[in-house]
Amino acid sequence: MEFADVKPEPAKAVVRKGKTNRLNKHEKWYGYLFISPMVIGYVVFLLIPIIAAFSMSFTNASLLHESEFIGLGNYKKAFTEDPLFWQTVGHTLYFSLGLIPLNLILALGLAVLLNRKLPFIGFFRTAIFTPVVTSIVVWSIVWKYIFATDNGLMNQLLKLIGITGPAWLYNMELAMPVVILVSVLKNVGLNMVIFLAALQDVPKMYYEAATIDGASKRRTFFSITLPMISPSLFLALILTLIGSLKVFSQIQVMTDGGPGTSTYVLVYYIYQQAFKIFEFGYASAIAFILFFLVLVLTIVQWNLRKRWVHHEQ
Amino acid sequence: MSNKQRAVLRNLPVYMALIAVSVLVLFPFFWMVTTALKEQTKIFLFPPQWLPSPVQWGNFADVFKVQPQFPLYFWNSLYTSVLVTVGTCLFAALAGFAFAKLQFPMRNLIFLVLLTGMMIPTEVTAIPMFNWFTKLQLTDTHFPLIVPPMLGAGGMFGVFLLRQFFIAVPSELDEAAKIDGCSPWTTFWRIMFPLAGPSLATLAIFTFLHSWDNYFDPLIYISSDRLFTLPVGLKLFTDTAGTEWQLLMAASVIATLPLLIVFFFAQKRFIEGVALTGLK
Amino acid sequence: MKKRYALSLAILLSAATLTACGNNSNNSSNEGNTAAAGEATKSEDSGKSVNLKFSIWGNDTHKKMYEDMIAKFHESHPNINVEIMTIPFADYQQKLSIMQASKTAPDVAWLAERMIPQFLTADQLMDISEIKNDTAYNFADIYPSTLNLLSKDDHVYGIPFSTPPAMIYYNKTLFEEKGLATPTELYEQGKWNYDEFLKAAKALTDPAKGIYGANMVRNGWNNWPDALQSIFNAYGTDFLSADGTKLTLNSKEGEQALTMFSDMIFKEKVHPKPGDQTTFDTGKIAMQKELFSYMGKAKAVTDFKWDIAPLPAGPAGTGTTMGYAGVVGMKDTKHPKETLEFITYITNPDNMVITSQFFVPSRKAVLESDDFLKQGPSPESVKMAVIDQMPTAKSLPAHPNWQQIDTKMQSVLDYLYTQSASVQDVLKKADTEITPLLK
Repeated sequence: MEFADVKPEPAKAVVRKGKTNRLNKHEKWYGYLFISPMVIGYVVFLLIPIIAAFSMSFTNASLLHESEFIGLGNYKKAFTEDPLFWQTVGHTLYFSLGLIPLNLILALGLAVLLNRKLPFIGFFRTAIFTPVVTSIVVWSIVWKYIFATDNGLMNQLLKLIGITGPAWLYNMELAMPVVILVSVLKNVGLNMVIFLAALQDVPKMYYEAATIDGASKRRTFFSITLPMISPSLFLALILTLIGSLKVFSQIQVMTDGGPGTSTYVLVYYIYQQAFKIFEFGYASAIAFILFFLVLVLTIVQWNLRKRWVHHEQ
Repeated sequence: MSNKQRAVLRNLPVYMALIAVSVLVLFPFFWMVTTALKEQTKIFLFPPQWLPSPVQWGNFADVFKVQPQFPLYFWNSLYTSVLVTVGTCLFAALAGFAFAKLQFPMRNLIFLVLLTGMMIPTEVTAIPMFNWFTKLQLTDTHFPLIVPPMLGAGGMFGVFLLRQFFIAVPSELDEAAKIDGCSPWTTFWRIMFPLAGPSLATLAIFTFLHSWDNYFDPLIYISSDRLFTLPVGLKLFTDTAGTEWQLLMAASVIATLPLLIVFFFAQKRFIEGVALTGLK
Repeated sequence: MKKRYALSLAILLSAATLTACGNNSNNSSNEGNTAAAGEATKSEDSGKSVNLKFSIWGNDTHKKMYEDMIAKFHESHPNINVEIMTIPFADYQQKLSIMQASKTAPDVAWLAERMIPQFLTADQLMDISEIKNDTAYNFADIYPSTLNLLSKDDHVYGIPFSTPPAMIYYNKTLFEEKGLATPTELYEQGKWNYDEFLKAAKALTDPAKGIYGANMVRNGWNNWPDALQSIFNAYGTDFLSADGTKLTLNSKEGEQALTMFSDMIFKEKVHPKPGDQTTFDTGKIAMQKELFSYMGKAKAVTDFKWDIAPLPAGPAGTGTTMGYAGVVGMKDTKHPKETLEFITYITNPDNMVITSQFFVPSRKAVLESDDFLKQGPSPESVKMAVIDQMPTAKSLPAHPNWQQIDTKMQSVLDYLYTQSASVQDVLKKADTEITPLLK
């Protein structure tokens, strides 16, 4: 497994005395000095802001006026008074649940196909990975162009076979599926490469044993390959899930939350509340709900991963 | 029939599937380039024109005419991304080295605390930071695009990655350096930092990609168009150039090409880097 | 395998570097952690010289025009330097609010109608009423109707410099091909109304060639006030009540207006569908609602003949709307005197002649000048479509809370555009979503 244990090496350093001892006294200060930029960064850009965001979520803070403490007012608003909040949560989950199976299954399928020594295999790997290194804004703009209502390529192709295509991005039912499709194609290469690495790590002898036992290809896949790469699968699942909860750019570029509010997702709503109308308090509350979700998922991931790593050893 | 051909034929279904997906994934690039080279009147021809004719190289020049700030956006993206990358690599390596190789009280505790930073979404911290940066008159500068990403969640990931690397370096090496009278700084700078090349390259690639692709931060922080980075500049271009898709696509090509070139030359590093870290 | 390689490399390298260490061990090492410095703060000139910041959303041609103007201004006011900053229109109001909060707002700024109430009610605009006393400035020449938005209790807070009425650009060639009376002819006969407009649109629409009879939308489908307000006006209703406390759209007239628009798109199919961005200059739009400022693009058209005409009339008149941009001074400026001087300068009669090459002037004398008349396809059509409409043209709706109203209305209208709700339901939805924002 690529994640070495978090435990540091034991302090067996001081073998010789004298010169090294004198240096060790300084070593402490060097240590603090070396970590200081990151520690300061952590405090200033992560710790204090997260605390500030948390406390802000109990106020009606805004860029435009003084803030007042309003207790759980923002959370109450989100959960009971603002139908858009629940819609937003729903759309986010829709995006996640639509994206994840597609992304993981496609990525795994491709990884299995690529995990063989054949001519041109490298080309396909590179090709499918290319969108990963392409700017999401560019990617979204091009797809928006392809899915344009009347003159977009997609509808022109449909017209060629005699079908009048729908207004893809101006349709409440279709806009989100289009965004999901575009997002899958953008990032499938990432998980594919992770799975490919995992597949290549599966010791050959297992397969050899399976062949001797006369196991079918299908059976080999489900009883050897899948369990062996399950840590990677799980890792990819969680990371993709966390990433999908934070989807923003493709939505902002392709649909701007529309049509109607049919593609409003959590981060888009945060962006709109915090940075367009400057309702910091309410935006912080929504952001904190997002943070809570991410936190739970991260903790689940860490715990389960530890178990798997031990299982492997 | 050569071996190669035979191998291809035997695995025809595999190739068909791979070709299908590759076409789907590469098509946007093809369409982007084709459109970028078309005359405006040919963009929405029906049936669609697959290859530009006549080829309009002038569209690329027109991008700079319609949007004279475009080179500036490019420069802003480039220099902020480079600064973030260099800073992240340096500070992450320093901290990673210290956590792996130096002895000091509370070392592991501090490290674990820093790790928690990796899961803090920037969308959450952005709200108070935006408020402060506004009060400090740092909005509409590049400061928020450079320093917080360098020392924030991305930085913490770098610390994690490089500490993993330095732990794997045999301790005989730094022991020997110590005995020879190297200060921790010299040990780091002369021995450890050069050794970390591959890990640093991975970190650098990710940080650069991430920064180059950063849309959220410039969107909220930058007001004046001379300070825009490419993603925001391109989005703006979609608003102002409206239906002149050939220019928009030409601009997209210009924005995409450098990174793609780097990718094709260093693709092994890219792909191995992803596989190695399983991140993002 | 890889590990072993790295290890041997490490040992090799260390052998080389360790000797170096021994030699240099006394060198005090410089720590490389100089934090990346932010933007250098600009030092303020201690002399008399004054720097003004002037924010616009215009393009580079506009910027260039102002730069030339500023150069001349600098000759007569050598102590005043003006720096132009460009902020894209889409985020202009939002970004200006941020700058206001961080006390980095420009001294002089362009503001559009939708932005003015927010800054005016927050008391962030400078009172420039003094400008009325300047005889050379000839304040009385400015159309009084264009000053409403920027005035409060007889005080003036800004000068409009661009007040283009909306009009119809029509493809004359298409009309000739079908042998139809043109909007200009119909207007002259006093028959230019929405019934005739629709009749012409139907006759001109040709799906096989991808030609639409009419297009009311310009600059994207989110720009709904621009597309719809003149239709509302023509049917005798408004978006908000005059005091801005009530949504008046949810009425019989509002329903008629919106139904007409909706039918054009979905029933008669004479209007491009939502998301479609076909433009007039491609020759595929027979009648396009646009502003006078579209003239530059229209003049580049070579494939067909075109002309301009006023908007058609509804039961309550043409309801012509106008685009609106004014120049204001921000109250927080440290240089109120110079700010006023600059505003006075760029909107004085001479300079409004210069800006009128892009912006329909709010000054009567400039508007009626020969130079301006020459800018259109013919002086007659400019007179008909611009000058005659000016006295009755109304600016688009505005409200201190416009940002939120706009966002809500966009998403409500999407229910119409996606045919997810009827016109009545859309108006009801608008009422429930927008009324709370009017408090």
